[in-house]
Amino acid sequence: MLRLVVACGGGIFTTTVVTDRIKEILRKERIQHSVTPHKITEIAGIMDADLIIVTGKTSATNRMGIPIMLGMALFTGVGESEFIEEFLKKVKEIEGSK
Amino acid sequence: MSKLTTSLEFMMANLNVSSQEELFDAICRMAEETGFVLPGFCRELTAREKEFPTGLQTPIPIAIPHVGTSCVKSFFSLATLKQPILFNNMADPEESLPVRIVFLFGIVDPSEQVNILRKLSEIFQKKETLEAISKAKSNIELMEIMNHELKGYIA
Repeated sequence: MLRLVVACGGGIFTTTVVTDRIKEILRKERIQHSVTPHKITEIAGIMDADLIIVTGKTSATNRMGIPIMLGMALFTGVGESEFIEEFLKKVKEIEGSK
Repeated sequence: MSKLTTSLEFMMANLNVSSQEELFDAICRMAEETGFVLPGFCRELTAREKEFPTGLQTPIPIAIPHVGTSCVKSFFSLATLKQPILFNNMADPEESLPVRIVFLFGIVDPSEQVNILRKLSEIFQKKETLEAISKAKSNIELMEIMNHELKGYIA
């Protein structure tokens, strides 16, 4: 199962919308998934996730090298289709390597 | 799914403020007086904004300051500003945006508000709606626009 983390600063508005949209996208692609919310400050130490989506630009990196993608596009609509394309590409890569 | 509360008192057209502090103060005071938030709300809002800014590079730049702590009942307020106030960009905190449309939220439980939050993010992307908001001459006009756009979502 694909394990996602959505990390944001304040934890309410953008996380809620982005999480909802990601679940929608994955449901449509029939990809089994779990989405766990985290704060951006917790990114470095996350261990059990395949991909981290952040909703605000950050220079934080993950100690284990888990890839991080900026998911603002799902919220603002700007660059949305490009994001979804890249996101699905990455997801399929991850699922393929399991 | 619960509805988000707003009312005419939370619509502030052409607010004459010259700083983020003044702006937050005006709205927070209203929210506190009407029992939607506790006294710590304004401080938490300001702290969050500093750490994780909420400016958005939408067709007309807006800001969506919000916190969930010290909030008793979920609500939102819409303010248009006489002169632009700088908010940092959520997507790039080093960049400041001149903002004249501010949606301020107090949200107790976001899982209860997913639908309206998604509806709002759609509105943020619509240039015509943002233009109508920025041109509104009165609080009543703002309320009408919100009622129209968010029919069924607000209480």
